[in-house]
Amino acid sequence: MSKKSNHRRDVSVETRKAPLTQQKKQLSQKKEKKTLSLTAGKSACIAIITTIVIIALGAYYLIVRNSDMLYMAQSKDFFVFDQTFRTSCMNSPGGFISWVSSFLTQFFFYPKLGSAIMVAIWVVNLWLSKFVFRVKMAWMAILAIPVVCLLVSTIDTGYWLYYIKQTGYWFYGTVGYFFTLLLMLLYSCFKNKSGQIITTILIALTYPFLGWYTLLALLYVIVISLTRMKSTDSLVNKLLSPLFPVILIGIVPMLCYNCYSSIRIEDMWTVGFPFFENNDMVSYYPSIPFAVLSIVPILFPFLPKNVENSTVMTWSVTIITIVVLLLSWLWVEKSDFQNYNYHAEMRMYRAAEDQDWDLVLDEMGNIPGDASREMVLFKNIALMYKGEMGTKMFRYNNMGEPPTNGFDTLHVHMVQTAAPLIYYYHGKTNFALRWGIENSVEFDYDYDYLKLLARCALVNGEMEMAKRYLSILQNTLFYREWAEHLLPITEKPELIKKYPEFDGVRELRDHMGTVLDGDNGLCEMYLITYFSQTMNKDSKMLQELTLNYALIQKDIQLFWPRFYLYAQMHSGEPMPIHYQEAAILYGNLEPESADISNMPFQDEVKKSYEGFQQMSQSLLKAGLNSDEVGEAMKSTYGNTFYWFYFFCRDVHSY
Amino acid sequence: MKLKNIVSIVTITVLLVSCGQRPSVPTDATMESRLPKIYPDYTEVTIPVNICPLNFAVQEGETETVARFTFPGGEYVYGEGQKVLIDEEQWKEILEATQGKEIKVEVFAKINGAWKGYQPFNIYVAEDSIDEYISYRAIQPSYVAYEKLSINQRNITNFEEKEIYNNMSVSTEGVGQCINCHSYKNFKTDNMLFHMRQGFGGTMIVTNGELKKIDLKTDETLSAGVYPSWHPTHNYIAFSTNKTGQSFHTKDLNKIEVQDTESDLILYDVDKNEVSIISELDDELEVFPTWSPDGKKLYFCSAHFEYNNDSIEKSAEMIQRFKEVKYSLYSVDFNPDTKEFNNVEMVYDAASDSINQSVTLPRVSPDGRYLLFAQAEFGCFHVWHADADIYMMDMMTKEVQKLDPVNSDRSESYPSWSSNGRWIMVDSRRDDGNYTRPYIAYFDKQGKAHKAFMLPQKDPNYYTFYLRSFNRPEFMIEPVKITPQEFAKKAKEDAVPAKYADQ
Repeated sequence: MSKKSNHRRDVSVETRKAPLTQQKKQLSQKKEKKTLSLTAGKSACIAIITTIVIIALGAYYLIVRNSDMLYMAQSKDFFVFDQTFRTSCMNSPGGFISWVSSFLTQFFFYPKLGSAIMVAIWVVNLWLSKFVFRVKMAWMAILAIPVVCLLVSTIDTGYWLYYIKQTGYWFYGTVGYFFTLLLMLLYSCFKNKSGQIITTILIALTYPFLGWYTLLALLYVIVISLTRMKSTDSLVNKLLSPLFPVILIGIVPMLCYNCYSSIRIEDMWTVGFPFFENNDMVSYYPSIPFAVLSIVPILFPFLPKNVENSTVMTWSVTIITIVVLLLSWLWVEKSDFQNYNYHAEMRMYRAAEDQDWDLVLDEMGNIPGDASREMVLFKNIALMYKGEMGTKMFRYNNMGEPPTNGFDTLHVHMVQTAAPLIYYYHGKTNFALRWGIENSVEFDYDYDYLKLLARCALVNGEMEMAKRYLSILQNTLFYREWAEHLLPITEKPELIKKYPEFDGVRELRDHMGTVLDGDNGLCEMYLITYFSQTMNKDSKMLQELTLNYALIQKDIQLFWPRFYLYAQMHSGEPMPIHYQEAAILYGNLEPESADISNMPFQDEVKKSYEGFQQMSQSLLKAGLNSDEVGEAMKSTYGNTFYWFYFFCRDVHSY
Repeated sequence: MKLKNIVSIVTITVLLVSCGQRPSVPTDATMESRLPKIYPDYTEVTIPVNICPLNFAVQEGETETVARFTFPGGEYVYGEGQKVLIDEEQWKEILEATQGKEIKVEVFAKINGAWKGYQPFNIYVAEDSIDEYISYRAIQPSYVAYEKLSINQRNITNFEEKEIYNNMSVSTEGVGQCINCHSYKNFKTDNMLFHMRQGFGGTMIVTNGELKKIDLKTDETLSAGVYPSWHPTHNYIAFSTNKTGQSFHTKDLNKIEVQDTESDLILYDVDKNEVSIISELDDELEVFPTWSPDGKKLYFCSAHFEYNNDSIEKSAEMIQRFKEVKYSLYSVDFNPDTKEFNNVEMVYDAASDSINQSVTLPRVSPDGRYLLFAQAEFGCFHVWHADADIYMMDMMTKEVQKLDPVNSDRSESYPSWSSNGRWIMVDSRRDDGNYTRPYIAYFDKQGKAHKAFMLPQKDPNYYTFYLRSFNRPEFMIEPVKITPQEFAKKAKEDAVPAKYADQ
């Protein structure tokens, strides 16, 4: 038995198919063995290698390179086993994919687990496509192109991550392609025309559930029916086979339009295909993988079936496999959005959520270039909660560059990324709620905003509202524990005092006055203006915050009253170095604003101020312009308030 | 034979399983001397004879629940986990047998393996029916952004709900659309309207079943029409025109102030496509017009507000003095034949020193005897004012009373009457202070309001997961017949500009 099997593996497919010419072929094979032949074993080898490459690419680019992004991605999605959510998903064609995809996306809570599920479906898709399109294993690398597209579409979004409106986007393509292949598999099961027509109708009926991917399946049916057409088929059959699905593609969305009230008729043929656009611009770049994913399978039925026993074909397949895998890797590598700040922001955001302030500061300390404003704000928040603003705020890079995708001109607004959490940690829970709701209106509720809304409601004392948000989270897979930890507060509001995570926010909020104003969509500018002009004598934390925002505002008149108040409230304590630096600088810049002659500055501060003055004067005398002076002094004085005051300029808030 | 046996066994098994699932009233329950915690709260409420089942959830911890409904014709027992889901056919039977009487509801909950019984409560079934439909705008508690908005119609005798219009049927990323202020003439839908703002802007007006898209903004008026009221006998619509702004409380739990820096009243003649001015006084902010049932009086709210700081914009001054804006209730006589308005009268001087409040959203009862309105300390947008409550004026005695049975310690606003005047619907944030829900209260022949109940849903947990507000709930006696797709098609057309008629 085993001998027989071995023998079969050695004999090519062609030999088995043509027993009458076996002898001749064997002779020929003996001759060809000296050259090169693509046996079933080698084909399998190519298929397995391709599969391994896909798994390796997936594991590396998802887990190693993008875990932080995938965690953020799931937090910007939502799934709950509830009729209301299910209904909202099904409000447009393709809603079933949304529902399944958002279910799967939640597993990115553990990025390794979510990635494993995603890669597993890709492998299934890869092999399913082989059977559906009846392609030889030798062509597995070509079959892998759609899967590579799925990988690219997962890691190339850049800051669109915050602007994606498609529920379950992260698994949508993967699940959609999977269902398309399943439909095609069903179609492939029927050889006779009537069976194929019935199956085609069945495929069309899945449109409400699968949307774009149903239309894609119908497109592939056209291609397959064309490639499998026989010369013996009647003319009617020859016409009907490809035309019938064409007609269905045309009319099914149109007919279904009357069942949907929340979609434009023009969009009925593309619903489920991701478009990346907002009211400013359209970006085609992130849609490319989906376009390629849709088009490439059209070629699958045309891949040569007879790939064995031909040296040319063998070499071709081998070279094509290598080239395709290599190009795939290059494409993935190029598409992987590895902007340092983009990933660091996500890590900082998560650390800030967990109130792991040391981790926030570590991230800030590790940045290779300028931070984004969001990172600067998180750094300041971390220092505020650690009580180190006065000693460390200017020891970090306070310059900030606006986030960019590079591949398009998407204008990122902080109010749509981290502002709600930033407002929350400033005790401005109403504004955090506002932007949490505004963003949920635009991009739908997600775990992240529900958590934020629950926290704000708890701090505001709006217990029923908190209970609603927590009850929803309690019904999710991975946020249940978080919600149940906080739910007791909604029954006994006084319990909040036993939850230290709310202490700082409550202190800031409770000591703040209320006014009627607005931020005009600029979080940082609003915080600077609001806090630098606030005075508070009751809360040390709030008072110090107002002093620091007066420093950031670089306003001498705002500084002095807050400085004196700080000294009064911290009587007997050492004055933090940055406040000394500001006092000595302002006292010298505007002597009439305050008399600093009797202030007990530390020697270190006096020396650094004198050194700063001397160095800047000498550099200016040497003919350097202001920017060059700033750059030259950065290594020595970049950690002082003086340097911040004179050289930290042109910062664009967004 | 074998097949027959299999079928029999399966049938018996299914029957046994389904029988086993039917709840039964526990005999060993220990009784509690308090009402059960149920959501929504349907204890001691009076309901219409044609309302859908009052499904509810028992909130007594992790429980198994049983509820026995005893009515003149018998009793039914329900219970599925924590939920009490009533069979719709049986419910109809219960209501039919209980007209003018009450249903006794006994609730039992299994907690930690032991059954507890609670003090029974009654549900009173009025002999009066309610309008079959309501419509509302489904909107998230709105600040500035808008995305997915729909105006929905709900058959409240069952759970069927459909969209009348959804803005996403025309909106794109580049051109968004806001929709608001749906309104009907005499509770019927062959004369109705709603506004579309921003993208594809205009007012969708249905007259005698014909759909038109009109641009109500003229050079002579402040804005396009905003808050509408259909004249009951003629083809006129009174609108306010408003310049509206929003600002945000940094800490106050009311969170938002929506203010009009200017507002006037206009009349739109639907047949002639003509707009004329009703009132545009400089120091008055006129808003919320509503007709008397005979169409001979127009009620409206107006706040006297004089800007006195030329150095800042009106909107900035309005923000600074937001608590000074207080609306009183007025009426003006109207001759439908000549379209003449005269004799403005103060109906309720809410802004007076003695009352010092602000009145909004007046609605006259179909018999003209009563007038409902929302009242709070200041301003015109009471949905964001927690102190806002519903008040009622007896038009015969001019006496104003707070309608306690429909109010809560959170915002109540947007009152409306059913077509027979026996039911009041209000928008309330009593649940959580953030999401408005429609509450319905019986208003008996003696002019007394009864305890309000939340609009029932098939799944009692619906409101927990539904993160949208029910905005402007309005009664209708019939569904809207124009399809959402027909509205969408018309929405894409250019609006016909209304003419201005100088009077």
